[in-house]
Parts: sequence; C-alpha cells; structure tokens
Amino acid sequence: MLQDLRHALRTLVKSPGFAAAAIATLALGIGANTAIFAVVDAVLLRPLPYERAGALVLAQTIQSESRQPWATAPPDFYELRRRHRTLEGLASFYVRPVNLTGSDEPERVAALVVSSGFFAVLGRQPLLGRGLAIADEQWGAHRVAILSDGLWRRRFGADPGILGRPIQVDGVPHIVAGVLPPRFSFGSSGAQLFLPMAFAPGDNLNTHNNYFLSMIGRPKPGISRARALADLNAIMRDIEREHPENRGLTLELTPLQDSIVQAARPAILVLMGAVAFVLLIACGNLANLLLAHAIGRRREVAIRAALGASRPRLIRQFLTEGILLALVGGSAGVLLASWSLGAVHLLPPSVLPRADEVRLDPAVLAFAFGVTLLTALLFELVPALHGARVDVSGVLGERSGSPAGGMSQSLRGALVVVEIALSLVLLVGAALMLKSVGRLLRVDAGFEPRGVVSAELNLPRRKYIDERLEREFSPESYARANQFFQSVIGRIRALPGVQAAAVTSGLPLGGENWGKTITFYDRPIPSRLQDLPPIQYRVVAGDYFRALGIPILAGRAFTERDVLHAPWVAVVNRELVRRYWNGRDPVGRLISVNPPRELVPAGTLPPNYAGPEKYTVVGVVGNALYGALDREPLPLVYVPYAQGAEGATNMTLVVRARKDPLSLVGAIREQIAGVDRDQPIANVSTLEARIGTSILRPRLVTLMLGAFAALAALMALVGIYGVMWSSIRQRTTEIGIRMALGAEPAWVIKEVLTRGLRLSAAGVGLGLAAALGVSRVLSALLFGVSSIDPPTYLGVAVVLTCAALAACYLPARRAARVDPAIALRAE
Amino acid sequence: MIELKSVEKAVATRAGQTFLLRRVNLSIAEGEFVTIMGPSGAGKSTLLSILGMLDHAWSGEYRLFEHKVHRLKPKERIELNKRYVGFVFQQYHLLDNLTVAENLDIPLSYRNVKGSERAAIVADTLDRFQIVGKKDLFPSQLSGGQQQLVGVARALIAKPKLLLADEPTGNLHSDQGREIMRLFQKLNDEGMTILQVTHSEENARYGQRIVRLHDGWVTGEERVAERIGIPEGAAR
Repeated sequence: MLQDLRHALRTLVKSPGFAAAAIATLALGIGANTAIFAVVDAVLLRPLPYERAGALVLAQTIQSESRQPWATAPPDFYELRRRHRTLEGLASFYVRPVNLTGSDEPERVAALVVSSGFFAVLGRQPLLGRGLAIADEQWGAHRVAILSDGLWRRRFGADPGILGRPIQVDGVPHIVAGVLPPRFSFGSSGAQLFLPMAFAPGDNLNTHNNYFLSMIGRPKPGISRARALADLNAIMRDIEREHPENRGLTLELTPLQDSIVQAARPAILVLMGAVAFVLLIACGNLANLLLAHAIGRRREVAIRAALGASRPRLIRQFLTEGILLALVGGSAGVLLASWSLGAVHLLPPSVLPRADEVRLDPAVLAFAFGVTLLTALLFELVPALHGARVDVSGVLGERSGSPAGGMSQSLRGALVVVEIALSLVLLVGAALMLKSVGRLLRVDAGFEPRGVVSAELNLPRRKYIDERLEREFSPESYARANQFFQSVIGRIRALPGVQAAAVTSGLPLGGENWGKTITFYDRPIPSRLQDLPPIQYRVVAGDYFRALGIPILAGRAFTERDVLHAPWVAVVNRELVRRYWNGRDPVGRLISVNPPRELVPAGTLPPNYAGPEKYTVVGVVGNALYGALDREPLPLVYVPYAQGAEGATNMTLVVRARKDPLSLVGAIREQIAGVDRDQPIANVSTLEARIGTSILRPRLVTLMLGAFAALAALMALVGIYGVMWSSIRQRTTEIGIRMALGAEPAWVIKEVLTRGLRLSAAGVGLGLAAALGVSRVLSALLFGVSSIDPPTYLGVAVVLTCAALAACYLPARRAARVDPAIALRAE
Repeated sequence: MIELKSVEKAVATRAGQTFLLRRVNLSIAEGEFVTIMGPSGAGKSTLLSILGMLDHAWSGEYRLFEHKVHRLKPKERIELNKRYVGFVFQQYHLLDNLTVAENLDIPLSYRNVKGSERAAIVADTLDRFQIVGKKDLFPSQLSGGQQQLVGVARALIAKPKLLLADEPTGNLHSDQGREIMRLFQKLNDEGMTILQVTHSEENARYGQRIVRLHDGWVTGEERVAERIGIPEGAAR
C-alpha cells in the first residue's frame, strides 16, 4: 500500500498541470458541498442548543377553519399552564423592544418577555445568578432582568458584580438577577434581555382582547405529541365555553426546530442538490481526464500485468492515485469552505435562522471526508476498471492499436453527455429563480422606497403612557406619546432637505402584525364576534402617505387638525374598498375597529366604557404591501396616532429626503435627542435596503444557484472540449489520410462539429427530461413563474447547445489544420 | 517441459477469420535454448505471448511441466506465469517513473514477497548484474544496453524456470546485443530454459535449436551446427 502511495505521489508530481487542474476541480466541488452541508447541519440537522431539544414543541394557536396562525391571550396561557397534565413544562414569550438608559448612551435592544418556566422548559439556566421564579410574575416583584452574555460584556464590561445591580429598562430600574451562558439565543428574536411576564391588575393586555403570546413546551417522557395536543385542546374547548371570543381557535404542536427553520428549508435543500450536481459534474470531468490519462498509461499497465500484477492490484493502484488526488483536493475544499463561512455568519436570522451556529464541526468534517472518498471512487472507478483491462500482448507485442482506445472514447462521450445534462438542470433552475426574482422586483409594492430613511423608536411606557387612563380605555392615556411624536416630526420636517416626515406602527414589508376586526355602520352588524371581518390596522402621525409615496385615490390624507378632540377619522386602502364596498366610494361612511359593546363578553370592559369609537372614512389610498412582495394586500385601516394609538409605543420614523436620505441620520438623532435625550433610535435603514432584505433570501438563492450553474456549465464545456480534442489527437493519422485523399478542411470541421452536436443534443435532451422532474422542487421558491416555464427551458437549451458547439470549434479548427504529410510520417 | 499440440490463434476480421498461428506443435525440454525465427508477421511474438500466458485467446493444448495450461482459467494461468516465467521485451518496457531498484522490486511485490526479503533479493540481483551504482537512476538515464540489462535482471529476479525473450537485442547495437546474448548463454549453461524470438541468424547461433515459423505455421526445426561460445574473460 505504501508502495502504491509512493508511486501515486510520483505520478502526480510528474504531471503538475493535470494534478493542479484535478485538485482545483475537486476543491471547488468538495468545498461547495462542505460549505452547504455545514449550513444544512447547523440549521436543519443539529438539534437546537437546548436540553433534549428534539422533544421541544411550539404550541401555536391557529384559526381552525382557515388554518391561519393566531397568537395566544395571556389568560388562555395561564389556564393551559395550570391545567395541563401531559407536559413537563409550558412557557410563553413575546418580543418587546426596550430602551436601556443610564450612564451609557441610550440603546434600544430586543427583549424577550417570558413566563417564569421559560428557562426550565429549555433546560438552560443562567451561568451567573438565577433564572426566573414564579414570584417574579407578580406585579411589583417583576422588575428583574436576565442579561445575555453578549449584552453583559458589551454594555456592562463583563462586570462580575453585576448581580443585584439595577439597570434602567424603559426608565424603570430592574435588578439584574442572572447572566446567561455565552452563545445562548432563542429563535430569531436576537433578544439580549429577558424580562418576566407580569401584568398590572386590570391591565387590558391580560384579557381576551389581546392575543400576542407564543408558547413552548415539552411533553412528558412517554407522552406522544398527539396525546399532549389532545390534552391542551380539551382545555381550549373548556375556555371557549366561557369565552366565546375564542371560538374557532385551536392549538397545534410543531417541533420547535421545524418552526424556526421551516421557511429556510426549501432554499437550503435546493442549494444542497445544486452543489451535489456540481460535484457530480466535477467527477465526470475528472473521470474524463483520467480516462485520457489512462490511454497514455496503457503501456505501463500492460508491463505491470506482464510482470504479474493481478487486475485487483492494478485497480488498487489506480484507486490509490484517485484517493490521494481526492484527499489533497478535499483538504483544499475544506479550506475554501471555512473561508466562505464568514459570509454565512453575516446573514440575518430572517434570511437564515441559526446562521451564527454554522461551523466546521466534526460532523461536517466527517461529511467532507466521506464526500472526498466517494468522489475518489466516483471519478476513479471507471478509469480504474477500464484501465486495468488491457490486452497485454496486444499492447506490448506486434499488434498496435487496441479497441480500448475506441471504447474509452465512447465512455468519455457518455460522461460528457451526463455532464451536459446535469449542468442544464442547474442552469434551468438558476434561470427560473432569476425570472422569479425579476418578477418580485417588478411587483408594485404600493409605495415609493427611493429617498426614504427609517428608524425605529420605542417609547418607555412609564414615561409616555398614563397607565391608569389606559385601563379605562381612554385615548387621553397616549397624549404624552402623541406629543413626543408630533414634536419629533415637526423638528425633523424643518430640517433642510426633508420633504416629509411621519411615524407609523408598522412599515410596508414589515409584516402583517396588527390585526383587528372592522364594523361597518352602513349595514346590519353581525350578531357574533367571529363574523366581524378581519383587517390590518396601522396608526400613523405626520405626513405618512406623502413620506411613503402612497397615492391618495379619493378624499384626503390626515392633517394636523385630526387631533384627539376633533372628529375621529380613518383612511382605508383600496383592497378594503374592493372587498367590502364593491369599489363604491366609502368617503363619509362610519366604521370602527373594535367590536360593538354588545358582542364583547361581560366583564371584559370597564363599566364606564363608552366605545367603540366610530371613525369617519375621509380617504382611500393605494394598496401598500405590508406582508411580503409575493403576498396579496390585505384590507387595511389607517388611523391618526392621536385618536387610535391603543398603546402603540414601538413606532417607526420615516423621512423622505430630497437627496441622500442617510445623510440626514445625524441630524435626525439630534432632533430626537432635543426632545428626549434618553430616547435612542435603532435599525436605521433606507426603505430600499429594507426591500432588499425582504427578498434577500430568494436573491441569495438565485445568486448561488447561478454561480453553481455557471461553474457546472463551464466544467461541462471544458469536458466536451477535452473529449473533442482528445478524439482529434487519436484520429490525426486518419484525418491526414483523408486530407491526402482530397477531403477539404470544411469537411473536417463539419465532422467534428457534428460529433459535438450529437453529444450536446443527447445531453440537452437528457437534461430537459431531468429538469422537468427536478424543478418541481423549486416551486416553493418561485414567484410568478411556473417550474416548467417553456421559454426558460428552451432558452437554456439553445444557449447551452451553442456554447457546446463553440467549445468544439477550436478542436475542429485544429483538426482542419492537420498537415497530411506530418500526420502520415508520424505513423 | 513445454508441449504444444495443435495450438492455433485467430482474430476476427471483416473478411472472416485470420489465423496468426496454425496447428503449432512444439516440444521444448528443460534446459534447452531454443530460437524461434521467421519473417515479420509469422506469428513469433504471438507464440511467445501464448507460451508466457499473456494471451488467453487461443485453442489447442499447452502443457507446462505437469500443468495443462489449456484447461486453466486466465487467473490460474497468471499464477502459473508468476511461478515459472520471466519475460524480456524488445523495447525493454521498464517503468519510466520508477528507479532501477524499484523496477526490480515490482515483480517481487506482485508475488507477495515480504518487504525485507524483497530488499535483500533486489540487492543481490543488483550485485549479480553489477548495476549497484545505477540503482537510483531512472530508465531515461540509462543507455539502451543498460536498460535491457535491467530488463533481463527484472525477468530473472523471481527465479523463473523459463525465460522468454522477444527480440531482446532488436533495439541495441551489435556490441550491446552480443553482451546480452552471452548473458543468455551463461544463464542457459546454468540450467535456465530459454526461448527467444529473433530475426538475427547470429543471435540464433547462441542457442541449440531453431524453430522456423512462416504465416503461422511451423515450417521446420533444426539444430544449430556451430554455436557461438562465451569467450574467456569477456567483460560485461
């Protein structure tokens, strides 16, 4: 074996060009596979970094009829937690941005508000201090905080004395009770702070008016998910009997890992398939190279056989060379993969969940090693089996020429056909994705993103909301918050270069995250709560529609006169008019966005509640897409902040600039600090960048698929070029004789191109059939394009065939220049 | 030692079948030095390949010692080849990317001889053929005669009973050729059975018997009247 290894090394050193080409091909193929597998491993395969993560489930409330995801109301969570019998633990959470103030620069961070059993369910406790206890859920005792390791180090200098110290969270002192272990994270929230879930007595949030919680749990050992689900849904049905507003809500249990990664799964699997194709094509090319090499080594093989080498021994020698080549190429590939992972870590969780966990761990290295060996077998086996079969006496004796030359050419031709087929499949996939992304980018999002910058503001409730008035549903409770926003908008509007400024509770493409119901007062009111049509709801202040470039189609936008004590007004979108007014002009009609009092269960509202408030529709605007570019717009109601804030403190500032919007950021910060120096802004970005982020995943997939397809096509073209070239070399004498007998150079070119066309046509035909089958996998990623889009298939087939013919042209020209005299003399 | 009866070899062509050997009957005793002669295309190298069990597509009977070669499978014939036969080629057929010592080592490694034993045998052979100083050279660094010498050494290293040589001096000039033929004669004197193919009448006179082939047929056999002996003190 050592002898074979030594000889293999020497053979490679003697052919540096061949070795370099082979190693480079292998490095690219194995490197790409290793990098993508590292993603597959971290995102899809590796269990979440929690104890017995495979058993963790997300308990998702859904509407049983429409299967639309919903959220859970706090009272329902408490009831489920109290009464379940089949879970080891059930915890709830929601994301809440908070402002950290105090001695340092004010900073907005994402916090996760969790029930006390949250860390116990995950099986991960703080490294320093303690987790959350049930006592922390009591209002008054709830002002404690658990820090992430990153926040503790970054903002608090990894102070070992942090435990028991107060920190300012939204202006309220919270005692640091614990610090989590390094690299602890939960989902894609990016939460750096964990706060206990607690509600003040009479808090409207802790009623069936508000559904905003998510839940995680873990079935007890031996209890199936189905049994746990039945247990929980039995409790939900009991709740529904007392609270009819819950009618139609049911629970679904999904493995927590699936719920985190499922959006990214199709894209990852498509890329895994793509790199596998690239590797197969690389193996085809290498096999071709080695078959050509083997022709040149027939003499050596015949000698070895004549000296007593058995066929298995010869095959072993070839395989040793292949394995050596693969190991060197594979090592280079692993190096390439490790360099590429840096880019992966930069991806946001919305594009790739668990991106920060992607690394070259032992499982990935084992995969790389396995792929390397498999690759060696794949590309070396055929040449080895073929090369070891040699007519010893024919090669060494009188008879020159061997049928092995012809058989080898057929094999190489077959390999090239397969390579072309595989590269066509990849090219079709990339072309479909490109078309899809093009369609996405051409979608009219309903607003003008150019020239607009946005930044998120989170107002601390204690400072800006009168919570006593809020419990009585009084709109006066938000007066201070409204005053803040009006001041900020006024100051920013006065800045040079600003065309319009506004705030909104939710930006387009930011998600359909505030759902309510609508009541129309120009028709009979439904008798059941669940019959009220659902809508999306946004509160805005300032010149919102102008700032975003959303067209006014009828009536007017909000003005400075639309204040708390003025008549309450609303603007609706075109989709709402289409759905519920059949396109008729709704200006002047009355609506409300909270249910009529008679439909609300007793005890939910305070005795002196006079609502719901009625809004007069004063305008209709175009449909801006709030969900995603590939989703239809939902009916939407806009209301001025002064009139319908309903506790919205997490708002986004939007500023339309005459020139470069980012140049205004410094001035914007100053103006906000001028109103409240403890008010930070976060997530500053242009709207164009936000759109870019919203389609980042399909763009990335397209880019990578395109790169792999281009690489695959290049390799296939090099393959066909190599086959044609080697065929010309073998037929040099024959061509020389034909030309000596009168054949024109054009005949020679035609011969070569015809052969090339036959190979390409066979490859393209096979590839089209394969692409039809395989491209269905892409359907989940495509927008506005069918996975069997005929123009795309035809276009790719034509382009690839032309490219293949072009690759054959050089060898054809060389063949036409064969000098018959030289060719015949060489014989 | 060797008995051939009605050995024939044909290859398929568009015109039908072309015979390379027709009803060859031949006996060779142990210790003989036999020359096969004939014009180009007579079937000499083909006969040698069949005798060396490098060619399996033939018919007839072939006995080597007590073995009925015609009844053996190709794998079994290869084993027989390893046990009894050494081959010397006209084009030397040394492995270009192996040194002289490694070229000598190759046949031993194919016969599963242990590493330490192989090293000792290679050292002995280098010494015997007085090419110790060349052991680390590659074939491209040797003259034609030196390469053929290494070829002969390689053929003998596994101690075969039968040495087959196909035009062993065909690519050498006359002095080098004579050196090789003297070596063959010496080996024959030591008991080696040698079968050579050659065009050269002079080379044939180093042997004891000549078998003539023409168009695949054995057309005659004769004893060599005046053998060429080994001069006293001839340097290699």
